[in-house]
Amino acid sequence: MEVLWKGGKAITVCFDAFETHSPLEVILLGKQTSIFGNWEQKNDQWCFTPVVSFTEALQYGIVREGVIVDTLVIEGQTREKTRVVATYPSADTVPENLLKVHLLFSAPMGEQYSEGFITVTNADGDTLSKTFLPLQPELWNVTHDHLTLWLDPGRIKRGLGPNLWLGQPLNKGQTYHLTISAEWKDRQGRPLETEYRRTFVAGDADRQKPDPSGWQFSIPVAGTKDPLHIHFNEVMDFSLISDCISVWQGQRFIPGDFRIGKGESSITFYPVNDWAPGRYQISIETRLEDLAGNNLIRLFDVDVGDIDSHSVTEDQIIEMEFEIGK
Amino acid sequence: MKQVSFLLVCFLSPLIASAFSHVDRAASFEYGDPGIKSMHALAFSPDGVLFIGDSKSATIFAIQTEDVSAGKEVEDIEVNKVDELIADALGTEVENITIQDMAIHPLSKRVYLAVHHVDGTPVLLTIQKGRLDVVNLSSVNYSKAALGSPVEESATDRRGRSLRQWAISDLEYFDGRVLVSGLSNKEFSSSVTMMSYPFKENDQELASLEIWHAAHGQFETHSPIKTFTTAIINSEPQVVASYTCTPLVLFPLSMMKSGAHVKGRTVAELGNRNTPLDIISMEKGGESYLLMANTSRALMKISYQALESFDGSLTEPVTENSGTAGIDFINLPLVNVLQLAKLDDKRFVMLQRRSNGDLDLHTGSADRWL
Repeated sequence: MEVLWKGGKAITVCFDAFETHSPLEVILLGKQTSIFGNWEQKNDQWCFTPVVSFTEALQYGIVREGVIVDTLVIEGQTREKTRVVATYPSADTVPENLLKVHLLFSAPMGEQYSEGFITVTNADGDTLSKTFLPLQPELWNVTHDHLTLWLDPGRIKRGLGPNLWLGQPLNKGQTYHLTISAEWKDRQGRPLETEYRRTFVAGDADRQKPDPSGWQFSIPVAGTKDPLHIHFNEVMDFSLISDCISVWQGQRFIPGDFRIGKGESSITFYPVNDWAPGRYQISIETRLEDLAGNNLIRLFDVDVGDIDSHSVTEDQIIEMEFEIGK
Repeated sequence: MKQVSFLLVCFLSPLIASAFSHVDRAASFEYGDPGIKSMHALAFSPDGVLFIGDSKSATIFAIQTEDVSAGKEVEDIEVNKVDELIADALGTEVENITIQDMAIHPLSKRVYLAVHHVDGTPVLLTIQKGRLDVVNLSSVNYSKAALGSPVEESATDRRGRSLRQWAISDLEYFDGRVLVSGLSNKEFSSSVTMMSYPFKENDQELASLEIWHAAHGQFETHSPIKTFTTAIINSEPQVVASYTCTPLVLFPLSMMKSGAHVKGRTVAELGNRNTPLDIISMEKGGESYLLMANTSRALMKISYQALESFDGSLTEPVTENSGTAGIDFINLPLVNVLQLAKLDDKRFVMLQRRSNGDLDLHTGSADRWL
């Protein structure tokens, strides 16, 4: 018997031909149901490709005329286990009105709901309830290795029912532990390499819009590929930083790579080509948010009765200009 | 470090709208493998076209099901431990599958289930007369409409970075149109898109919706719509939407135009610390009712007559914890209902987690429950 693997998954099993014209079935041992899939005859072999890949460590039976004629256990391939590579914000201190947490994994995660695998506990070890907003479907990226969690906005916004009744999820001066269970399965159905645990402290609330006029830049030298450093005056949301900033010279897009700085309070641009003398623009989309969900044109949490809070603002671009001398 | 001058602000068209208005649609059906990457929402047109909301490819697929065995009176659908049945047929364990959505074919009355395997493989299953089958999607007649695909003119795309990933929370067909609610994995935002069906080029409307959220005591423009249905209320087609923390809001379809900012009318506040899961409409004795399933509350029954006669909008905060306001509703003695679908004029099908932990698919009668 031969198991064919693709992308780390056991997708097909082939057996030497049984001398039979009777149809074959594959079942889970101990079950009666014939597993959905396609049979194909290849040379002297019969090959079965189930609708979804085989599950490691489960026992399967090959059935002919109601009799189990062979059994199969999928042995896992030796490979690195999936792990949590980072959680953002990365700083040890976060504003008490933190809106989003990002979890990044080394490989695509499975399609189980995250609830039940993520816990936040306080310094006393008590588990906090209803910290994150339950969303279905959850907010994964395309490659399913980056999950965005929202702390419950109803609890963050001051004076709202959930805020009054339950309080905000995090409170200034308190220490918290974020734990990601090793039981959480990756796309191969295998648990994580190890439990992930980190500690953070809630600090002052952030109730200011990010203000690019206070950002600082290093001006590169003409004829070099000097990096352009942009320092924000606060920590920004990890997932939006590199999406919202680009470099232009008039209508000409300047190609290059961005790297987010330590602590998500800066970004560095590495141009593909040498800088030419002239005026350049750093384009910043106003949807860029800080850790509290304040973007460049609106606060996340505003007073009821503030007329501006009811208006909807379109996405906009703020440009900042610098000049490289000859 | 040198600080540089703060220069100018210029306006671009809304990025969300431009993302959604850039559509890639086949005007007619193609034959083959549509390449569906995920199935987060299912809905049928009255003539049996199946719409699949695929969040991963941000695309709505329309599938010709060729499932036209109509006419016969169908029996009640009763499948106990449906999750175990599915796991066995997929050769895996219950914890490795999730049922994403359920819809019933309007002609054959077959139950369609969108299921995800832990490895991300989407599987479309059907149930009829207790028998589970898999739909082979490698060779079907289909058409598709893309949502939020990368837009060339955006600087973000020119750098080849990922744009917003849209999570499709619900979709529905109504009178030649497909409505899709979604939210973004990036910034805090939510939207509803309306497109004509059959899909046509450049024919999508994306409206931003605003509601008065009485539990929150303020206007919300970014709350994610969790589930919605469409209905004629006071002679006008309207979206009946329910949100996390459970405000029930009406939006006239006629106002949902691209770039429009539509203020919804909040007609009920059905309690906080709850997420609505599914809404359907049923009739009994000549009266129409909404049935709404919830995470933390019982199955609710709301009379359309009450919806029609409530002409105001809730604008005062609900001050009591878990309090409710607006039109009346009745809590039916059915809890932990996860999915709802209308079987016929007198019956609906529920996916329900029973008190013993079993996940059962079973039929409810309007005469009995409404």
